[in-house]
Parts: sequence; C-alpha cells; structure tokens
Amino acid sequence: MEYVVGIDLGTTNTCVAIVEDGVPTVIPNKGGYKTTPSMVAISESSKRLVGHIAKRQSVTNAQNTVYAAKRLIGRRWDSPAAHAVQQSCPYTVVEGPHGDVRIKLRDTVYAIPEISAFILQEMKLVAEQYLGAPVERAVITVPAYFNDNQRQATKDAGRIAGLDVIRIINEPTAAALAYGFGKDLERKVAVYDLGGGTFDISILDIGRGVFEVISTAGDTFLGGEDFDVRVMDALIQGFAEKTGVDVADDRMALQRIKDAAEKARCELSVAREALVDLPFLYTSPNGQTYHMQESISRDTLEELTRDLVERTIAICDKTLRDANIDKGDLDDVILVGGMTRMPLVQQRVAEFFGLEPCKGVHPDEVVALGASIQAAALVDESVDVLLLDVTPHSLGIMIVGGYFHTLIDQNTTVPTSASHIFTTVRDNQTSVKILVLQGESDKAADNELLGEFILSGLRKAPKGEVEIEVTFSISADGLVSVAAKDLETGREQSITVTATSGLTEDELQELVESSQHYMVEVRASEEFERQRQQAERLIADVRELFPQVQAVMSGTAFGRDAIAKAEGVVERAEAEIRNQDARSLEEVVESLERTLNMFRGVVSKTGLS
Amino acid sequence: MSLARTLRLAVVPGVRFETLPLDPQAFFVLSRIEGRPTVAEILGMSALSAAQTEAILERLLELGALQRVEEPMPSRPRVRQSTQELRAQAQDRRRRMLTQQLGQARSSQPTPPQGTTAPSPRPAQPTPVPSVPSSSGAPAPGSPDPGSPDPDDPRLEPVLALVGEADPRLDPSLGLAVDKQRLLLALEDGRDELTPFQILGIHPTHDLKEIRSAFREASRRFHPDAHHGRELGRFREPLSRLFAEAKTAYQTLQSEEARAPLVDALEQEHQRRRRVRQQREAARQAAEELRRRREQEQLEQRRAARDAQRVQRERDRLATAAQGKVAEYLQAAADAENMDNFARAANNYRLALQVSPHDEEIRRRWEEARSIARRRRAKDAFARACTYVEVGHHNEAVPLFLEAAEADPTLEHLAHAADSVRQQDPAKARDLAIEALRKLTENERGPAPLRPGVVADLRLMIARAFLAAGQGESARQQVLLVQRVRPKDPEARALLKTLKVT
Repeated sequence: MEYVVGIDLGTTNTCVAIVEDGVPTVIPNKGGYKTTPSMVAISESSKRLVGHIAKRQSVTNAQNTVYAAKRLIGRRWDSPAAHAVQQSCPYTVVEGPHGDVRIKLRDTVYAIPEISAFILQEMKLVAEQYLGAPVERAVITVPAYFNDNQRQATKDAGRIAGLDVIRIINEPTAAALAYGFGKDLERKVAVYDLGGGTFDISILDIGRGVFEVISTAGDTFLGGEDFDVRVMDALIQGFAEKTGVDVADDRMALQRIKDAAEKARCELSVAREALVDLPFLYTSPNGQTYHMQESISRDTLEELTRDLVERTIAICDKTLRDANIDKGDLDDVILVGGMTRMPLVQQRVAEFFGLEPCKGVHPDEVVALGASIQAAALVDESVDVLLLDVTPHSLGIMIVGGYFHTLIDQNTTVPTSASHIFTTVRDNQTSVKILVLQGESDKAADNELLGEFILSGLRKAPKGEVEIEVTFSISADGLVSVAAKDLETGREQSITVTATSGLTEDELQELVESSQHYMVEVRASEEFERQRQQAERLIADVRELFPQVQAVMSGTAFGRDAIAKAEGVVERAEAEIRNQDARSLEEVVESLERTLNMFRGVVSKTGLS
Repeated sequence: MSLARTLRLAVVPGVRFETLPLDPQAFFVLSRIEGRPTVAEILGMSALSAAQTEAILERLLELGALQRVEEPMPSRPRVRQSTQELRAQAQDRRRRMLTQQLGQARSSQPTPPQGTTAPSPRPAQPTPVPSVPSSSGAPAPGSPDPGSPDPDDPRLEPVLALVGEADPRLDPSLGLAVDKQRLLLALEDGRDELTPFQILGIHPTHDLKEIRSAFREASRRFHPDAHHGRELGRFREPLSRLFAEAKTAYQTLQSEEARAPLVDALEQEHQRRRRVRQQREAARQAAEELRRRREQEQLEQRRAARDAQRVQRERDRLATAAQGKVAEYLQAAADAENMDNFARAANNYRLALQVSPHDEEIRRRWEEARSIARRRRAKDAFARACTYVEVGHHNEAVPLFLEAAEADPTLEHLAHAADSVRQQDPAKARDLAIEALRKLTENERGPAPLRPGVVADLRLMIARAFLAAGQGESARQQVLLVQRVRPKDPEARALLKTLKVT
C-alpha cells in the first residue's frame, strides 16, 4: 500500500505523522524524537546537516545555520518580514533574482523553498525508514494566514524534496481535525495556534465528519521567536549594563544567548524562575572574558511579552466580531503550538473565551496528526472526513488609481472562484496586464502581490469591444489560479505569469533534479559507509592472519605470489576507501572476502598438520 | 416502445446482478420477479409507476438480466397465489417506504417539486433522488405525527428529479456513481431555476439544524476532496461550482426572509394538495355513495321482482289446485245430479263455489241444484206429512208440513203448514196463512189459476189458521169465500158457527 504522510513544517520544529490502521501516529526520527528542529546547516566540509545535528552545531556554526526559514518562505525581499529577519539572524540573507529572499551559506545561495525542502527531505527519509517503503506523497500544513505566495513556495519545497504535495492545509484546521477525528462531535470550536513563528486563530463548525472553517485570521510574524527575541534583548541589555560590553556584533555570543533565551522561556512555563548561565560568553579584544549569569523570573518574562500575548487576543477578538460569532456559541478552545504552554497565554485565552482550554491534544504533534488524517481522508475511502476551509485573505486585482478591487472575500470557503470582465482601453490593444493581489487593504500597494498576469494575443478591435472574462479560482489548497476567456469568441485566452516571488519552473526543475541527485548521494554514501565498514572489518581480519600465513607460505614461489596478491588487494581496498567510491569498493570487498577465506583455509590446514 | 402486458419474463439464471450497473429501483424490480410473471403482474407488484417499471424492465432485458418466456405457465393457480403474496409484500414494502420517506422528509432530504426534470434527448422516465439517510430525527415544527404519514405532504416527493438513466452524458467509467452523475446533471440542467433548498437537496424548512446538516451532506457530495484522485471527466467543474453554490445556498438560507417565501410556497402547495385531495375524496365518496345507492335500489328491485314471481307462482300453483278441486266438485255434483241427488249436487256446487267464488255458472248451477233439492225435500216432507194426516197422526205431520213450507213455500205447502201448526203455534200459523193468502191472491191473478175447489180447500185451511190465531174476521172472510164456491160445505158452516160463537 502506498503511504501518504502528513507533515507539520513548523517554524522551529517539524513533525511527520501517518494514519496506520485508522490511527494517526507521529513517526519518531532516527534519534527517537517525535519532532525534528526545523534547522538546516552546511558544515565546514560542505556537508548538509538537518534537524538535531544542525541544532547541535548551531552555536559554533551560526552563520551557516538556518533556523526559522518558514518566516521567510514566500516573502519578497522588500517585505518588512524579510527585513526583520535580516536584522536578527546570524545567517546571510540576500536578494534573489525575482525579488525573493535567498540565504547564502558557505558561498552557495539557497532559495527558501530549497531550505525547507532539506527539512522535508529529512522527514521523508524518517518516514521511509519507519515504514520501510517509499513515501512519495504528503499533505503539508501551513499557517492559516499564509498567503498564496507562501503556500505556493511551501508546495514547491515539497516538490523539491521529492514529495507530491497532494494538499496544503491550514495548521489550525489540521489541529481541529486531529481533535475531532474519530469522535462524533457536533461542536463549534476555536483553535488558538501560537507556534514558533506564526499565530493563527480559526473558528470551526464540526459535525458529522465535516470540519467547516467559519473564519480564520492570524499574524504570520508573531510566534515563539518573537518571545525569544524579547528575552534575548533583555539579556543583552542586562549584560551590557553589568559589563559595559555590547555583544550585538558577536554572532556566536548572540546565538548562545538566543538558545539560552529559548531554553529559559520554556523552563519558565513550568518553573517560576530560570537561570541563564553562559560562561565565557564574550572575550574582549584585550583578552578579558565575560560570563553571563542571569536569573529570569516568570513575572519578568510575562512583563516582557505581555503585549505579544495581547496582540493575539486582539486578533481573536477581531475575528469573532468580523465573523459575527458570539463567544458563548463556542464549545471548546483548542490550544496548538509550543508557545501555548506558557501560563500567561493559557490564562489570557481562558479569560478571553470564558472557557477552560482543551487539554486533550498535544500542542506539538496535533498539527502533523491532523495533516495525516487529511492525507488519509483524501486517499483512503474508509476515512470519512471532509474539510471545508476558507481563504484567509481577500483576493483581488489592482484597478485604476492603485486601488484594490476585491473579487473573493476573505473567509470564503474554498474551492471558490470569481470572474471579472476586462475590456481593452485602446483601439487594437492586444494585451492586458492584470495585477493579482491578496490582502485586506484598499490600497493595492499595501497588499501582497501574487503575480502579474498578461492577457496577450487579443484580437484587434476598437477599444472596449474585446471583453475578456478572467476567472480567479482558489483551490482547496488555498492556491490561486487564473483562467481567461474571450467572451465573444469563447476562446480560452493565454495567460502569462510574468512576476511571482517564487521560483520559476526552470529553477524548480533544476532544484528537483539536484535534490534527486542529493538523495542518490545520500543513499550512495549510506551504501558506501556500509561497504567501508565491511571492508575495514575484512582488512583487519586479513591483517591479523597475515603473519601466520606468511610463515606457512613464504617458502614457495606460489605462496609468495599469493601473499603479494593479498597485499595488493588490501592496498587497493584502502585506496578505494580513501576514494570513497562505493562501486569499486564493492568489488574489492569481494576480493577481500576471497583472500580472507583463502587465509583461513591455510591457517586451519596448517593448524591441523 | 412498450412491453406487451401479457409478455412473461423470467430472471436469466446465473447472472451476477452485483456486476450489473443497476440502481436500487432496478434491483428492487428484479428481486420482485419470481417464476415467470407477466409484465402486467410485475407492474402490479413493483410499487413503482408503470412507466418507470417498464423502463426498468426494458433496461433489465437489455442488460440480459431478464429474458422473455415464450411458453405459457404450466400451473396457473400456483402463480396466482404467489403473485398475491408478492403483491402483499410489495404493499407492505411501499407502506414502509412511505413511512421512512416521511421520516426523511422531516429531517433532511433531497426532494424538489416537479418541473425541474432535465430535458434529455430520450424521453426517459425521471426517477427520484436516491434517499440519503439522515439521522436527525427532530420533526420540523408543525409537521404531522410521524406515525401517520400525511399523503398530501409535498415533502414526500423527491426534491429533484434525476436525469434519465439513458442520458448520453452519463459515463459509468468515471469514478463517480451513475446516480451521482444523474443528480449532478439534473442540478446542472436546472441550474438557473433551482432554489437554494433544491441545491442543498431538502424541502423548504425553517429548521436551521436541518439546513446545516443538508449543507454538510451537500459538501460531501460536491466538494472536490470527496472525489480526490478519481476520474471525474466532465463533472470536475460542475462539482466545484455546485459546492460553491451549495455554500452560497447555505449562507442565503441563514436569513429568514430568504427562507420564508419558499417555506410558504411549500406550505401552500401542501394545503392545495390537501384541498384537492379532500375534494377528490369527497367526489369519490359521493360517487361511491351514489353507486351504493344504485346498487341498493337494484337489489331491492330484484328482490321485489323475485317476491312477485314467487307470489305469482304460488297463485298459479293454487289456481291450478283450485281448478282441480272445482272440477272434482263439479264432477261430484254432476254425478249426484245423475243419481238424482240434488242435495249432494248442491253441496258440491257450494264447495266448488267456495274455491272459485266468482264463477257465476257454478253459482247458477248451485242455486238450481239447491232449489231442486229443496223442492224435492219439500215435496218429500209434504208427502210424508200427508201420509201422517191420513193415518191420523196430526202431530207427527206438523214439522214435516213446516219443513215443506220452508223448503218450498208453495201455496199448498204454506196453507197446509199454517193449518197443521195452528194448534201448537198460532202466531206461526197466522204468518204462514198470510203468506199463503198472498200467494193465493198471486195465483188467482196469474196465468194458471187453481181450480176453485182446490182453492176452497186452501181457503178453509187458511181460515182455520186465522181462527186459531184469533183473527176471526180474516177467517170469516175465507169461509165466506169458500161458501161462495161450495155453499153447503159442512165444514164451512161449522166454521161459521164457531166464528159466531166467538
């Protein structure tokens, strides 16, 4: 049977799950952990490191370690988000060829989907190892508030990783799916999802296996990372006040402080006080060393981050009001994301909704579980679950004066479509340019540009006579597509996408190929490693027998010849190990085995005589 | 094309029905066919409309599930019985179906009014939307008691008629059930005039819970995810669009203003149907009443005729019997007459006259025989009285004289009777004397007067009677008249002396 996995590609952690025999299960990684840090690093030897290994070396290799790539996925270079990351991250962010954001690690520039693909690829391997079968298809989650560019980029990442992304679903929706799966619920619930990098709030109506999203909202730049930054800043400031040393330029120190801040923040969810102890944090040019030893109380943390929590509450409030939902109508509040462990968050959510948040779901795993359920629902007839999601942003076009004309309202259930009729404004005009945007602002410039479409090859006619009906569709993935038709001739009109922030098809293709190549390499290196271990074991065995064999056989010319041959084999094997050539090594291993057998035969015979 | 009602059909043995592209109705019809029923019998037990059943039978024949049977059934009675059984089963099934449908109609189910049938190139018979089971048991407000299905409820009908099974746009090779395709085509064909309720597949209602439930069902039908990875062909686009329409319909129906006209229309239709049915029912009852009355009348007429007949027959029988009796009596009378026994003849004539009282001939003969018999008796009595007188036994003669006078009141008999009874009963003697005198007077004036000597004798007798009765003057007159004829008659003289003394 073919497996379709669900992957929660988080800002800080990634998790993969599968429905096995009707039960959604999280797949643990090689280290036995259920979640894998969403970190990618390139080692000094240009080796790609993903997950826990990347995290472990992040302090020493901060410049070449990417974390929170999700915050950049599908962003434009000129977006404030990209700017913010540029400021706070130790790795180098550069502008891509399409105005997109790229990351430079050890002289190689990577597109963000590529970085995400490294993580997805790792998850694919984890799943394949666990299942013992190839995994080709996946459902990947994204924050509900992701726009089309971000979704598209995530889908691209999956493609690069060699996964057919059969569906992009929203994280809170996935969480609700996991919450309601297998229970015959008839409820209206709110999902409060505060993750590492994003915040989402979704209101769902669950009943008879149909999960209908009524309303969704969020902030794609509000999450645990922001909380950590607050703590970090406080630590740096405190350090500066105490020692007069500014560590802002010391990337390694910053990384250590960041890690410590994150750790302290997590600790403070259970403890009232956390200690930050960073010895030898900074060495001044004159050789003086400074240590950081700070204690942070939960109250301090809450003081530092209260406004962030309030921002989430404000979004919740606005969502409920916009969707015309009374808080009293809600039956449950589900908390999702590691950040919801923070007592202040729980307290404020409970206060706001007037409900004790649901404790039945695991905040780190529930999203991946939901994704796996959706995967099963799509490919497995027996899983009777239907998700009705909404588009989080209004979709529209730019009209005269730089204004935004909405075609599809936010919170419209997907799939949906809307049509708009364009006419020519000049005689014999042969093409029309359409700017498609997503957002809630009246001004087109304040909204996210999804793309520039050019309707070309229009028939020549006096102005206003050519009427082109352009249909904008949003698929169940939340992805936008555009089709155009000449109303008079009924002819499908060609559309060219001239500007997107994502990767071009060619680039994508190239990345897919290189990724496949990498997979081959990974597999080959695994194979080589196996061969190497075997060869080394054989070599050791042969060497051990060498003196005895030499003693027996060096008397004859034939014997000497045999010994010389054996020496040659061992030498060749050692050479191949150095060459790292798996194929040749395989051949040598066979020769080594023969040699060893021969040696063993000789030794046993002489032992007998 | 249509199937002859007398055509016999049989299930082709060995066909695996589950492999055939059949809808539930076709299966149902197929399951009804046992033995070799005729088309007419199948129509009777299918619980579907005739045209529908016929269409299904044609299809089954086409598919090779059924075959035509040429030879007649060997044993008719057995088939009849099994047909009856099947019919009973079908009725039972229909009842249950109705009850079930009602339950569904109340909760949530496809059922739009007629008139939205898709125009299909072949005049295919529309079949109802397959019922989608629904568990919401809450009855709509004002809905009738679930136990008794309201036959006028338009909600018992399908929300939307599917397109015909032979619609060329249907493609069984797609990953979409044919029934679903038929529903989709029907929705697509009726696209512009469908109400939001029809799109959601329920009858108009104000029950928001039912509407929500219907929307969920509709989502399951239309949402592309429900058909993920399947070949949908031309249905891919309609599905997405229908999903959007279902969503819009759902949102529209949240407002009461949107629902009200549709719900009202349904209610009005319900009322209208109820009215029509009631009228029809009343008309039917009236007709029934009329028929019953007519039957009653006919029955009574027949009964009356039968009674009359019986009476007539009785009468005839009696008449025949009387005729025999009369003839018998008449024969007896005739015999008696021949034997000169007129008394017996008269008696027989009387008996015959009792049987046939209006027979004047018999009456006449009876009277004749009777008078003859009387005269005979009078004559006989008179003769015997005279004999007694001759021998001097006057007392024995008196009753005989009286009998003769009574049986045949002739002048002579009266006179003798009056004379003889004068000692015993003078009053009677006087009456008889008066009568005799009257007759004597008649006789004297009549064509054959008696001889004066005879008359004198008679007058003497009358005179004696008068004398005995104390009527001296009358007696004297008679004596005087006698003396005129026989002046020296001693008796007359003696009488006159007596008279003078008195």
